[in-house]
Amino acid sequence: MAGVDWRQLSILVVEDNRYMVALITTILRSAGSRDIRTAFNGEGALELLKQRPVDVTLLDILMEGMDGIGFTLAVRRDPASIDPFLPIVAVTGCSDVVTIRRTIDAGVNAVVLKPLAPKTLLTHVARVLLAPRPFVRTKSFFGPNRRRPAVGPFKGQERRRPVAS
Amino acid sequence: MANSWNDGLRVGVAQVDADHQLLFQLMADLGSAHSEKEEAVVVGSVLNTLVSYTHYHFDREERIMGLCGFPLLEPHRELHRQLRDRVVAVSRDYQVSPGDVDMQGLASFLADWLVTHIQGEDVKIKPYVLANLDKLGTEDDSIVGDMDEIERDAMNEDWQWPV
Repeated sequence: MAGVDWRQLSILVVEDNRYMVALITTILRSAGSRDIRTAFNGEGALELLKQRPVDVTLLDILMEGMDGIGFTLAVRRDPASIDPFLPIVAVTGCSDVVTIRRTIDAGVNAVVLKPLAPKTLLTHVARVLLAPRPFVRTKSFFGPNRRRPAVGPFKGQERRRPVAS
Repeated sequence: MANSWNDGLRVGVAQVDADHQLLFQLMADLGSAHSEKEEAVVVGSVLNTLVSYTHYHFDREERIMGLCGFPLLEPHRELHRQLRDRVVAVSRDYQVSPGDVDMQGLASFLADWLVTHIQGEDVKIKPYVLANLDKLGTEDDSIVGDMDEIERDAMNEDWQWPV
């Protein structure tokens, strides 16, 4: 397995809380990353992406101006997007299931919940880089396959029956 | 917070000094995020990171001491264990009831503890490190612990969306 070369990664952190920006930057730097850019909302992040693409984006969801869902939709579906396949890890303190579901449906690759723990964050970043899920395109969705991976054989009562011929 | 990083706290081991600076920064952030009434998820994130890095740093220091044949490793390890236990206990209390934890007090206590520990204990390892630099060649700069383990976890198929 070729590992993640954290020193060579370019990373965009989109987050409107200065403590979280500092913390995420600290965690990434402690893993070896140095090329870390930051934006405080979606518009700022899109501007930075126009200047130079990145390998992965860590994205807050609830922000003033263009929020994380708007940013993800712009990256995935805007015909002018410079990188529709950009790996996006949502990092959110939002506990509202509907908002998290909308975030997944916008096309993020992973969702990490705050409060953060360094190892959890880095594991998710490594996961979207080392084991990316295939992208799918439908009429209403473009992004990484949203299906949950299989977690072993089904242990409950089997209710599906073969279709009678 | 009265106690913060300064050059007088250098013990002369680059990775250890870098870890100490980072821990002081996190303690300062913890105190100010709490006093500025940041959301619990923000303060909790800083606290989680401080807890994790305290573990990683102590592991690193103990590994270095072992490699250098530092004779006071066991009592030093016991001091680390006592602080680890306290920090973990506060972290658990915060998860249960954020409003009841005196985070400013914790940050000040940790900074005071670290200054005392560095000046009284960590400085003792310097001569052993200097005499054994050749044995420390493989010590990683990373403070995050075992990066291979992170990548193994990343390849684990057993992940779930949070909803």
